[in-house]
Amino acid sequence: MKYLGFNVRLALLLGVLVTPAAAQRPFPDTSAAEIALLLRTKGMSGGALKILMQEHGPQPKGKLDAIADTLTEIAISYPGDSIRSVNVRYEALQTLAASGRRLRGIPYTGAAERLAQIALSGSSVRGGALYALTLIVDRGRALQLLRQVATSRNAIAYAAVGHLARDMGAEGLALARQLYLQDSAREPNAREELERMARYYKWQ
Amino acid sequence: MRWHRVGLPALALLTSCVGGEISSPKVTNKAPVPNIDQLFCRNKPCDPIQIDWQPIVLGTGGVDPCDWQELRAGDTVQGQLSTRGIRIALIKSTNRASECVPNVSMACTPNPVAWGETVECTVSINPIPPGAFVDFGQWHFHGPGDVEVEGPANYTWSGKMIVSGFVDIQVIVDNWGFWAYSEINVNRRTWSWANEIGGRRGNPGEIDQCFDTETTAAMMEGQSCTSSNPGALFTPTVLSNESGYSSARVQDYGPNSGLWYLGSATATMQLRSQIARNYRADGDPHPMVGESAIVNSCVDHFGNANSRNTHVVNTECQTIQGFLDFIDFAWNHEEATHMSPALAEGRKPASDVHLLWESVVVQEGPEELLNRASIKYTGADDNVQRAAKTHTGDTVFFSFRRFLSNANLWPLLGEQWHLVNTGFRF
Repeated sequence: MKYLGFNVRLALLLGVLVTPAAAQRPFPDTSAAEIALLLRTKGMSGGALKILMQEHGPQPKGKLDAIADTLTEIAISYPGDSIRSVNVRYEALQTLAASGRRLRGIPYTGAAERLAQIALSGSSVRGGALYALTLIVDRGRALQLLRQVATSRNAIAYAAVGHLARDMGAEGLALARQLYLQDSAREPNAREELERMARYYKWQ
Repeated sequence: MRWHRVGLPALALLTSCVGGEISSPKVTNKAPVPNIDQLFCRNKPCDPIQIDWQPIVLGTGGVDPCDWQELRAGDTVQGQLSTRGIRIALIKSTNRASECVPNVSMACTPNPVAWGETVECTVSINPIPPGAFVDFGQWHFHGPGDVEVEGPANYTWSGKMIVSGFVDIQVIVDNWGFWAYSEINVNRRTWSWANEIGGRRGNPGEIDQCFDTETTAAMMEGQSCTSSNPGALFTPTVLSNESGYSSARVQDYGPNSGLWYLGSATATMQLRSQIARNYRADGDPHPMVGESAIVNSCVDHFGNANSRNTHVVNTECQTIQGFLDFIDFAWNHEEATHMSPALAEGRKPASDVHLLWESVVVQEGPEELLNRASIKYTGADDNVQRAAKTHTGDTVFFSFRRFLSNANLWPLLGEQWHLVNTGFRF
């Protein structure tokens, strides 16, 4: 901003002398509660991704985890079947998922676990959360979590089998084969998925 | 409109004169008294002076600061202070209206705006004190997907809109700072695949590669299923830019400048039900050996004992009602238990891929657009899979002739023998 004196700019940045009747800038980059409110009322994550990826500098782990937990909770349990409600859940999911990818800043290390948590819930975005695991930077962790889901009794286990075989490269395919040979799948559709793969790949 | 003000010491140019008395209503003043060392009067010529003073709050009967003008002979003084036993008038210079707090507002029109149409947002300042310093920060647009677009440092910003969000701008008027912002609502495109998705009975050969006909009597899958992805319901099975959708980007310099979005959606769900080839008219033939009743029936019908498939044996050599019932049951089961629920789910907002994709917007580029579209794609697919995979009921028995290759027989199975795998698996 041209011609703006230092003191005025500093005052504005520090938010000093704000009158009670006035509102702050509409996109606070602070608390999980504020982000949750913006998500629930406007379907926007209000800068949460920038915070999770620490784009503007280091953030306390507790703050990152609080925001991530808020996004997880909204992705799982924000109510309603309308497209607006669905998009609120997806906005929360997409923000959390993007934080685990190599977009900008520092990938958030807590994204994978929370994506798995959403995947294991009954939410209508669970399938997207499971797929998002295949995109995160920490491939090793993604493989571990996909294996856990694939061998669970959760109804989405079949999808985890499919992602291992088709979306996680040679390592994922080898893990799927191992699950078949060790008879590790417990959910019926996951077992069927493995049997189909075994026929196709001729696993012995 | 939202604003906050920063109160800072301001310079005031006041007129003053020496001597005289002033008669006016008493003013309630809680602020520090300015350091004024000259009297103000209304009956004598006044000399302007420059002093430092703090903003004060006038009590009831106070004046609108924006109406204050330089004191002139014959004016009515509307407020006064007492300092050091000298009554003074509080007046306001027309050159420094630092207590004249302007209204800063923003209007975006049209709002709501149709998707793809142009919106214009303009900041208004009223009043602008004469000679006031006015400065604009840069516009910002904030939208879902954590997009943030930076605009010009100007009082207006316009451009094509594809996603709802907020615009804001910082405005400085003299020493007051304001944030002005406005929500912009974009009417969505009416995307939906609800009237485009469908399903039907497969023609002979369709989706055969997607199930094991030795163990499964019938199946329902997507038209694009493959042997490596046998459970695929959507087309394409693997999403990519230009396969399933096309990407586009806002090319102007407005609030949605540079944002990537889906320009069109072509992904679909076309379901197919299918009977295992073993039981279709195009099934593999088997030698007519074994039970003489059926062999003779085929010889009588065709004039020879050439190999025949299960379909022909049960519908032409003989008419076996159990086989006809089995075929009907298989088709109806696939359609009622799997295809119909899948289509019903596919038409719901959480599974309508086109509807879900309509709002996908990213800033990073086409790769991130694909990531976000894929996340919604697989989410919708899972919802439909869940609806389509529900099985109810037990194994169902049907009595008809099947060729047992290990015995070279065409027994009438069902009542006398259990079927392979204890029944047909649908």
